[in-house]
Amino acid sequence: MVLLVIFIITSILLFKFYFSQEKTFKPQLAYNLEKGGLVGNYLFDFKNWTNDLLHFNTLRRQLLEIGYENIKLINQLQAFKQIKEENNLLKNALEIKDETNWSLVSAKIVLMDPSGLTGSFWINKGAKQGLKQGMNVILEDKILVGRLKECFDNYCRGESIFSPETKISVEDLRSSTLAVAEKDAKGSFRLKLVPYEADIKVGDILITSSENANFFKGLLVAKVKKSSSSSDVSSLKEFILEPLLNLFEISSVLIITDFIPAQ
Amino acid sequence: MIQRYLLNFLLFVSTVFIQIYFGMTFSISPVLNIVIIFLIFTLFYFSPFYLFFLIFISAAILDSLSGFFWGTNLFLFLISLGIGLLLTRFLEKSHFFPRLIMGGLIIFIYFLGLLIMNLVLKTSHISFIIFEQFLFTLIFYILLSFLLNKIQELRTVNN
Repeated sequence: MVLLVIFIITSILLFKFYFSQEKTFKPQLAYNLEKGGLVGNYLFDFKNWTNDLLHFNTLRRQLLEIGYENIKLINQLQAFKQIKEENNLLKNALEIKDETNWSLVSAKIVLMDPSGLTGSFWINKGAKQGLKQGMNVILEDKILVGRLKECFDNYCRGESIFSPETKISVEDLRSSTLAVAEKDAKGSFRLKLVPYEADIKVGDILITSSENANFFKGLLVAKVKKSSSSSDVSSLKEFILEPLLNLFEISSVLIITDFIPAQ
Repeated sequence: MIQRYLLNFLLFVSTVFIQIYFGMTFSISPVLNIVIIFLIFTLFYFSPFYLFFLIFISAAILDSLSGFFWGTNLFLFLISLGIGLLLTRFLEKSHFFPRLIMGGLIIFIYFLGLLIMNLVLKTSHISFIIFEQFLFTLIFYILLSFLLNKIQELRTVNN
């Protein structure tokens, strides 16, 4: 009986302690795991290796597709060179500043969500480096990774675009058609409720549009993979998207510090 | 006695380490929850007080890194393993099939709790992934139980 009372009192105290230590536990754990993460890095590499081995055929197919796409892009590049020169000339004439002159802070991804349910990640930069909640996280090639969710002194936790409930207003790079990219029950991205007359084709690249409350305009989001018609609403169509974020090769990211969306 | 606990704790640390690094994923995908499997086996062979201590550590790590509402994992671990502890009073924990049933129930209660919590918090998008994760963990637990049972049988025959 006495033991039970002691156990209950200890449990209550432990609960109280646990719930009051959220802000201490999180950064401390990230710090400890980052500093002692040498074995973890090997494990992570091994996981990538096994993943590549298990998806060998997919990788081979992707390589072939990339090869074809590369040739197509080289041809397009020739045409774009001329347009770029013309564009620069016009910019100089109108004295317009470069739109992508963002202030960026680079950071390393040190930890990721071990439960596989939230799409969270931890970076090794925090409030001391000027990072704040809501800032957008991107890759070097302007691919959208997500945004910072909470910041501590030396670490920040971000939520990737794969997090539940993610909705991104996107714009078709080719036709400038606006749409909303959403996650479905299985976790893949879809363009839902798109009118039939909307000019969106398979292979089109989608970027963030200015309608987003949380994301900067012009960041690369996904590629239209295939069309799937919505059966219940006949006048609308759906598209399945392929995110441009390559999950297995990310080790460092960039944070746009001069844009904090409304909280 | 102390040696057993030390060895178990070392195994626990490596399990958590594997869960954090090997199970880490950037996208939302079903990941094997080996921590709960380890806690189930600890429930069968070790003291409930020690189990309580391991639950706190596991919950602190998973709550910190996963970005769930703070306390979600602690609450679910306590509920599911608490029920498991209660079941050990009625079922024989030294036998294979009752252990399989108890372990399966603990995993079921944990993921059902996660599912309900996510529905309450209106993140129904990950419901299917939770279901997949539940199946993966349950299958892995059953396989591991069979394997350990087989090893135990072989050891008994050899002795």
